[in-house]
Amino acid sequence: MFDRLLYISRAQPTVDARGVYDIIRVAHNRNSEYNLTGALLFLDGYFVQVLEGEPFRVQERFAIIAADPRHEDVQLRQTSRVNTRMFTDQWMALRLKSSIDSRRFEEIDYLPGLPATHFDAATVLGFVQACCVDLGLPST
Amino acid sequence: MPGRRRHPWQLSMKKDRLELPAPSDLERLKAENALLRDAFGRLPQGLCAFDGQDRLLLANARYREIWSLPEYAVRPGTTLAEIMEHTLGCETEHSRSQPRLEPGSEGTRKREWTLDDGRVVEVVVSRRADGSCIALCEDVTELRDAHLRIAFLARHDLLTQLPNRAVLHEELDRAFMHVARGGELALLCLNLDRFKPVNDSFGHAVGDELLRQVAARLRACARSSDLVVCLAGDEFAIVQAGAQQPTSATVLAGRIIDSLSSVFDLDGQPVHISTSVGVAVAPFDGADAMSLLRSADLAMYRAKSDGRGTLRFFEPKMDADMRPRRNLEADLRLALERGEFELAYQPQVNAASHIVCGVEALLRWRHPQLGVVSPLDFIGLAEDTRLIIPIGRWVLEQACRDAMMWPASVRVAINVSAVQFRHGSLLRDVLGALQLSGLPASRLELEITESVILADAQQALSTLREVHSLGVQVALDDFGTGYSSVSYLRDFPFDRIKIDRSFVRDVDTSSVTQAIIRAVVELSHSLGMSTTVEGIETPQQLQIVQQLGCTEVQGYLVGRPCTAAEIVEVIRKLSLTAAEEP
Repeated sequence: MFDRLLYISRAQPTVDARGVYDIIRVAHNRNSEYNLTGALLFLDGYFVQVLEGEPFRVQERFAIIAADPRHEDVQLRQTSRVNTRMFTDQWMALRLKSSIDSRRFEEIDYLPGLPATHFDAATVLGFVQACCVDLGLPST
Repeated sequence: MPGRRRHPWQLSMKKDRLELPAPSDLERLKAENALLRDAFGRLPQGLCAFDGQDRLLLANARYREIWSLPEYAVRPGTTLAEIMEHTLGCETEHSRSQPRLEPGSEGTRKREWTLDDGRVVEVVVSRRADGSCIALCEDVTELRDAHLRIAFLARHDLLTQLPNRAVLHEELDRAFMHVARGGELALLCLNLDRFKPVNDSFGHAVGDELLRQVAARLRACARSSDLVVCLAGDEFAIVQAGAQQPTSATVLAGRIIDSLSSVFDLDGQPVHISTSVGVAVAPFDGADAMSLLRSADLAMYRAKSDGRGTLRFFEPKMDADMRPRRNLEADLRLALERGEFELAYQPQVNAASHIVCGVEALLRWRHPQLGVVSPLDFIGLAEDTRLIIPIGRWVLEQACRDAMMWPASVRVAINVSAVQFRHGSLLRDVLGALQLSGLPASRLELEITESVILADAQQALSTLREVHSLGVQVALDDFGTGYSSVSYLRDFPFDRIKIDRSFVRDVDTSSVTQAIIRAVVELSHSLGMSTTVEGIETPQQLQIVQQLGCTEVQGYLVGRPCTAAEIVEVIRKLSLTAAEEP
C-alpha cells in the first residue's frame, strides 16, 4: 500500500532555472533514499507535484515541502491510498512548460493558473501523468 | 683558366678539339662513377632528377619501388606527365593547398602523396631557376602510423580504448563556452561497485575484460554526441551537452545503472557488478572543468556511501560534509614528518604466572589542534589514502626499536592492515624494521584481522608464509567477531588466536560465553596455537579465563596502555610481582 498525494502551489518569483534544479536534485537524492517517487511540473509560476510512496514517508516529506519558503499557497489537492505507483521508476520526474507537448495543454484547455483554480484533482493528476508519459526516454 | 687546377672529369673544349682526360684519370673517373651509381642505388630514399622541360634525367631503384613504376617509365627522357600516368595515388589535399614556388625561382618544397595501396610518400623537391629539379622521395607510412599511434595513446585509455582525462578536460572547456551562452551541461562520474572483488577472485585478465565490456555498454547507453571517457581503472565519466538538465542526466544515469547491473559473461563466467553515479550540472555546480569534476566526484562518493547502484546529484552541502575529512587527510599527510604519531604499549601477560610475555603496540596520533585522535577516526582514512603504508612502516620500525629495550623474553605485537598486505611491501618493511633495530624475528608478532584474508586470500596467505618463514609470529586478532571462519585456522598455522574482548564482558555470568571460550581454547591448543583473551578488567574475569585454559591475557586489569618509557618499568614491576607470587 502506498500513499499518493497531489498538491499545487505558487512559486516565489525568485525561483528560476537554478532554483528548480536545486529543488529537483534534492528531491531526487532524498526520494531515492526513502523510496519515494513522483513528478514535478513547473508551469507559469506554479508547481504541480505528485508524490507517492510508503505513507509515513510521504507525510513526513510533505510536511517539509509545505514549509518550504520557495513557494506559497500550497493546496493539497488529493491524498489517496493506492496499490500501485503511478511513477514506478522516477524518483522525481521534472517537466518544464517548454518540454511538454503542446497537445497536452490543448486536451485540457490549459490557461496559466487554471489547474490551481478550476481543474479537479483527477484532471490535474491525469495531466501530470500524460506530460510525463509523453517524453519518455530520450533515444540514443 | 690558367693556374687553376682542373678536375679530371671536366671535359674542356679547346678550339674544335675535344680534350680527353689522360687514361689514368679515365680509370679514376670510371671508379668514381661506379661508386656514385652504387651509392645512388643504395639510398634508402627514392631519388630522381628532371631537366627544365620536366624530362627524367635519372632515377634510382628505390624511386621506382616507392612509386611502383614499370621499368620503362623510369628511363631517362620519360616526361613527368608519362610517369604520372603510372602513379597510382594522388597528392593530399593539405599538400596541394601549400604555396607553390614562383616560376623561375629556386627553392625547396615538401609534398605529400597518398597511394592507392594506403602508403604515404613524402617528396622533397629542390628546384633550380632553370626549372630543373631533384626530388627525394620517402615512404613515411610507418612513421605516420607511429605518430598517429602515439597521438592516440596520449589521449586514450589503453585498455578500454576510451578517451582519457586529457580529452575530458578539453571537451569540458569547449562545453563551458556553450554554457557561457546559456547552454546546460551535465557531467556524470561513475565508479564500478564490486570491481575489486571481481579482479581479486577471477584475476586481472578477467577484470580487464570486464572493463572492456563496461566501456562498450557505456557507449551503447550514451548518445553519439555524449563523450564517454575512462578516468582510471574502474572510473568513468560522461559529458552530456546540449540536452535538457537535470532530466537527461537522470535518464542516462538510470539507463547506465540498469545496463551495468545486468550480468556480464566473462569467458563463460557470470559476473555481477553495479555502478555508483554522481552528477553535476553546469553552470549551477561548477564554473569550470575542474570544479564541475570535483562536484560530480563528490556526488559519486555520496552515491557509493548511500548504497551503490544508485545516482546522486551534487548538493553544495556534500562539499561541506567532506571538508572535515579533507582537512584531516591533509593533516594526516603531514603527521608523519611532523612526528605526531606515538606508540602506546599494553602488556600481554601469562594467564597463570602473570609474567609479561608480550607487549602490543598501539598507534596514537597527537594532532596539534584536535589532541589525541583515536585510531578509529584515522586508520580508515589512512587506508583509503594508502598513507597506511608509510605509517605502518614507521610503526614497525619504531616498535621494533623500542622492543630492544625490553627483556629478550618479551615480544612486541604489531597490528597490520589489509592494505599493507595488498600493497606488497609488508615483507620488505618487516625485514627492514628487524635489520634496523637488530630485533630477533622471533620477538616480533604481527596481529592481523580476518579482513586481511578476506581481501585477497591467496596473496595474504603467501605473504604470511614468507613472514612466518623468517621466524616472525602471526596472531589472528578479534577472533569471534565477523565471520570467524574456522577455515582460516586450516589455511594458516597461526601462532596465536586473540579472542575478542566482547566475549569477556559477560564471561563471569554467561555459561554460553564460557562454553564458547573453552571451545576456542581447546581448538586452538589442539592446533598448537596459543590463546590471548583481550579486555580483562576484573579479577573475576581473569580467574575464569585462566580456568578455561587461556594462555595469555590482556586488559586494564593487568596493564593499561602506556608510553614507551613507562612500559620498561611496567615489565620490570610485573616480573617482580609474578616472582613474589607463590
